[in-house]
Amino acid sequence: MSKDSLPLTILIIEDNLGDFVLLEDYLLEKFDVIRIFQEESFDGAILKIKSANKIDIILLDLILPYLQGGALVEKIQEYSGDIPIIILTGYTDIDLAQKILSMGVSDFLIKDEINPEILYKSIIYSLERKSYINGLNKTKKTYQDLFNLSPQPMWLYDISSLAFLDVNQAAITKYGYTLEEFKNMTIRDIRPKEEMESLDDSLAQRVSKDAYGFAGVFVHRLKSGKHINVEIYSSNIEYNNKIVRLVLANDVTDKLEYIKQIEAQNVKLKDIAWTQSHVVRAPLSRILGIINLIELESFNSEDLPYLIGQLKLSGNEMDDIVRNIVSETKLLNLNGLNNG
Amino acid sequence: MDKHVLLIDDDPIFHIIFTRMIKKVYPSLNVNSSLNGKIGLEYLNKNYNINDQYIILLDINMPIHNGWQFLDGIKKKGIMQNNNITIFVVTSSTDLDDIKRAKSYGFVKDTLSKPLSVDSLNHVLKPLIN
Repeated sequence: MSKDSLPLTILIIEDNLGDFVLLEDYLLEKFDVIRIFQEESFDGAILKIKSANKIDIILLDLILPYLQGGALVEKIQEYSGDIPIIILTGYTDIDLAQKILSMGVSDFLIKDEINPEILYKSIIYSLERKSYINGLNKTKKTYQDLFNLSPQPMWLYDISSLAFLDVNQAAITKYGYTLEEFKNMTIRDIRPKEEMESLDDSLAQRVSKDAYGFAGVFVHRLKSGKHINVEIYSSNIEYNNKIVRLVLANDVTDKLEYIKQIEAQNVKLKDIAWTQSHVVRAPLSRILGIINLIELESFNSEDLPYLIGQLKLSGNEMDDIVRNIVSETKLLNLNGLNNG
Repeated sequence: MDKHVLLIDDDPIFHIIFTRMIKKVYPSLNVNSSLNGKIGLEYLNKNYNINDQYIILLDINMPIHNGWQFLDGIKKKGIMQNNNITIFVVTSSTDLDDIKRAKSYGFVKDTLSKPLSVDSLNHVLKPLIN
């Protein structure tokens, strides 16, 4: 039978030399490229784990001098990180070993039943399981990071109690509450009082339509008391075996403020255009009307000085109006600069 | 049958220019001046005669009663169907909205832009002269 060529470094923590030699034989029978360390005491084992030798798997006798059972496992785990641990035990300790399984060890083997096959299988399973769990954890972490490290404020809330279940870093930064504070709050607590009705309307609508995506623009209140306008996107997701609502909030206060400014400028420009059309043309039409009249009258008419006086008045009036438009336009530019 | 020209405008200079032009071209016509829509309506209330003929030149932007209020007022009076009043809106505005709005009153004959030339004066006064 060919040996497994998987390169492995195994630490056997076993104070009984006979048992160790037996284990070593079994391992050498199954693995081709293998390094085996033996440690007889807890302290020696810790030193070995902490050393530069990269341990792939630990075989641990449950009964060592001075330290046994659960306490032993717990102590080892403080140093072993994600190295899989296989417990070796006698018949008398089966109950104990079973309990210890729940502490996160990979497997337990009964010494009297160990043979090369059983040992080999247990080691391979443990390694496989470790890489699978690592993969799962990595995926989980990726998704958690997507939530936690997203630059957009996001949170999860319970659909019936409206309580915050989780809140990401961006939301904590934006709203000013700590995660603990958030977890003692409901989504009502980040709304100004006058917004409750629109919140209730929106929630009712979302429930009835099982809506997904854009929910609308709402006013939220920060811890500082400041109000912001936010675009809300939300959808249902499963979280800890429960359907909860995931919310993404996009602060559009500046955007809305900017639009408001542009709208105000538009009104002003419209005013100026209206002035052009109505106010400027009034004296201008008067001037042209007087000229029409002068053309009609004889040039030596006694009214001529009066009409020329009126021409002058209308000309000055128009001059004032045009100056006024120029200064208003300048004001518009200044406002734009100050706010830009 | 008498012929009246009613000028409703808040600009006294326009009154002067306009009455002088009319005196030059049609010395026999009688021109009445009102400085806003309210005075214009009051004049009609007092002096309207179903057998006379009226030409009204109406400005839009005026204090107290503007041109629109005058048009609404005269519509309410129900004298337009007697067919003896012709209304021209005369404004210094070149605003298209104003022109559209003036046209929405079916009985407004035309919209003219200030200043009025002798030609446009002839056009306006034609119904009275013939």
